Amino acid sequence: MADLQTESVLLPENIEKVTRRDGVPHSITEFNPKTTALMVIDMQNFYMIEGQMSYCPNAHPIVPNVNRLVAEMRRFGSKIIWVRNVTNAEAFKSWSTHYSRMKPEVVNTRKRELAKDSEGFKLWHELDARDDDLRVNKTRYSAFIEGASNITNVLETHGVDTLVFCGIVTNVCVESTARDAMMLNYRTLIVEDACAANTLSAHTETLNVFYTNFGDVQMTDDFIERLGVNKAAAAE
Amino acid sequence: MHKVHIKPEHIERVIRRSGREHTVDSLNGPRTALVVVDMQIYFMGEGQPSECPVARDIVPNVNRLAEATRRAGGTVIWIQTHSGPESLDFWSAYYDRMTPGSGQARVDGMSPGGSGFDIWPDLDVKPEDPIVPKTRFSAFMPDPTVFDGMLKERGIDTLLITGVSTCTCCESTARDAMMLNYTTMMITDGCAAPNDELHNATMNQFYLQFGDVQSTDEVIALLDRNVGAAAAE
Repeated sequence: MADLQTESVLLPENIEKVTRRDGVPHSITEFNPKTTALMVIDMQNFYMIEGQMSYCPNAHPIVPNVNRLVAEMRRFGSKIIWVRNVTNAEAFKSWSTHYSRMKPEVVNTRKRELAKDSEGFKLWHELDARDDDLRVNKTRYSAFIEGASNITNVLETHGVDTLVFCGIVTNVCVESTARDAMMLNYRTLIVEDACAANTLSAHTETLNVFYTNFGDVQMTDDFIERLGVNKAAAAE
Repeated sequence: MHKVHIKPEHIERVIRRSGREHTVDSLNGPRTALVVVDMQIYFMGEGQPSECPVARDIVPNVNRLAEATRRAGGTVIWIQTHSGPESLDFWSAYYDRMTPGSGQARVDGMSPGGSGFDIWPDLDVKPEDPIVPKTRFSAFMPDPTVFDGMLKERGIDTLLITGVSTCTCCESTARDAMMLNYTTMMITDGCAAPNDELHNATMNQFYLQFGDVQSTDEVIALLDRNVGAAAAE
């Protein structure tokens, strides 16, 4: 089992570059509970159970941080959105270029294990998911690709303009969804030690590119501390 | 020019999953578009705020690809970032993070008529080539139907991505294209990033999860092969 990162993977030269541009190293520090949501990406059995095709061992050490974020965001008064990958007949057609690149047996496993209500589709049992949380199913890496999910409607309905990301894998579904979110004008933040990738290099590369060009990247402890500061300020 | 390195373990994994090293092994010219992203003075000129020096090195490859694409009956599309005072408002999630000076410099530089707006003069832009404006990093954002609609109207289903910078505008455009069901290839020596590490990070991730990556020479050979086949028919 892999270890959890204990320190930020952001490179000093990128922190310097962002500080030069933005005036501060972390620019997303004010949160309104009503307009902020936590997006937990793809923490499903398909990626969490050993022996599954897309098993990501590095995802296990982040579970406690994901649950801490979930608990703190709930207490803060923000929505929790569990985003899940799903495969269906429509997606096999509308995303044919993706599936045609794979061997038939690989496609069949994805078809079977990520179908709605299959074992692989379900959220990992150690996660603190509650009935009144929101759930969004997506058929692409990014939830924001047209036709991939109803995420835009969900966010509009709840008046959300700020998205905090955690989950797996950092460089594919987290990054694609977070990049698109930022370009659709959501204030976007990735919590780095609540995300995991198959390799530390892919994780580190994504977080540095995202931090330098797209949105903020913060550690779980720092983010939770900032939520506390916001809560105290609101109470005054 | 970047020193490109695709990790051998990624090649192995693609072969295991796809049965072959390169998933794009043929190109149909008329259905193919060369997409040249943001080759504007703002990212290329010496002393410009977002100067990426390697972008000047890739100009000959982009021009060769453009010629080969046209020869094969394909379309060459120049993507040009447009900004303006309204950008500060409709993309506040981006600009509000910056100091006012940083945001204003970017807006001014890439406003039509601004010092960085024009496409690099050494690029071989032909009158028939579409020049497509974009206002975000990805050419498909914020409304994918605009660019997607234009491509569909022309019967294009395959995109060759070149330009600057590899990790931001090229990769975002390429990721979105692939998720919108285009066969998508990033050209290893037709994109430029601030350094080799960033460039290779994108090329490796894209190759592993999103689409194919090939060199200018490889892609030109694929384009020419079908020109020959079409002529022989």
